[in-house]
Amino acid sequence: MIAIQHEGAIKKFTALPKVWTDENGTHLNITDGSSYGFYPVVTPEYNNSTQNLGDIEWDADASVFTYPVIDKVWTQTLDEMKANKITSLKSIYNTELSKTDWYYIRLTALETAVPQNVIDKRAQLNIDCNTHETAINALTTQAEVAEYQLPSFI
Amino acid sequence: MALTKVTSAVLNDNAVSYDKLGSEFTEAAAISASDVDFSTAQVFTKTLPADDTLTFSNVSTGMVKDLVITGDFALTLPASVKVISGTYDGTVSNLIQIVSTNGATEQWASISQQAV
Repeated sequence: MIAIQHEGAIKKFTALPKVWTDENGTHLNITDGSSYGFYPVVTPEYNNSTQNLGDIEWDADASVFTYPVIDKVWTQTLDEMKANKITSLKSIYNTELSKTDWYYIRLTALETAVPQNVIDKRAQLNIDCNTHETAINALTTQAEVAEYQLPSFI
Repeated sequence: MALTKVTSAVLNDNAVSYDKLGSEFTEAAAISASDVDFSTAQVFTKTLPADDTLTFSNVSTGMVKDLVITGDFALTLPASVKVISGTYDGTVSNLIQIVSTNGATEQWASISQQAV
């Protein structure tokens, strides 16, 4: 990705344009983009859980176009974010537990015993879910809650 | 001194042959320096030795000129030129056809190469 400052705005291109017109003329077969004001676009590393990228801007020191990294401003309170995170957590574990619910339906209907490994797995899922919930409740900042990684069973 | 007036009796329909056309319609000329003088030839040729900026002179509305240009360097045409289609390929000969639609203020260009 490259960009150029032109007519008061920064225009981005995936590659050097084949034709470029500015106040100096209509340029064809450009190979040295910097001669015309084209410079690379550098996307800084950032944490998309807690940060956003601002509008593209010129970095004169590095001679690149880049984006400022801006910390997210949360609209929810810490407690609201925790509650939402825990809701998501429980949804994930509920989905995982539901995969073996049929063993208990069969137990009720046919009195067929639930295998021990299924019992053990479900018990561990409940323990893990509680561990995550405790950990989420112990978080002290909104950024920590946003960054908290919920488990995935996919 | 008596004026010579061209009348239909003197200049019949279909009477202007190619030979009678001025050199600006019939000549091919190498672009000397970097100026394309629209009044001097129909076809202009140049092999770019380096990045080059062409200028146009004596451009009038309706003029159509052909530039045959090669050379794998950056080529800059006047800002009044709007490219309609095509891209310049410096590794082969390029036919750049220029049509002036508003004197020196506006020209349109199409760029093409030999089909391969």
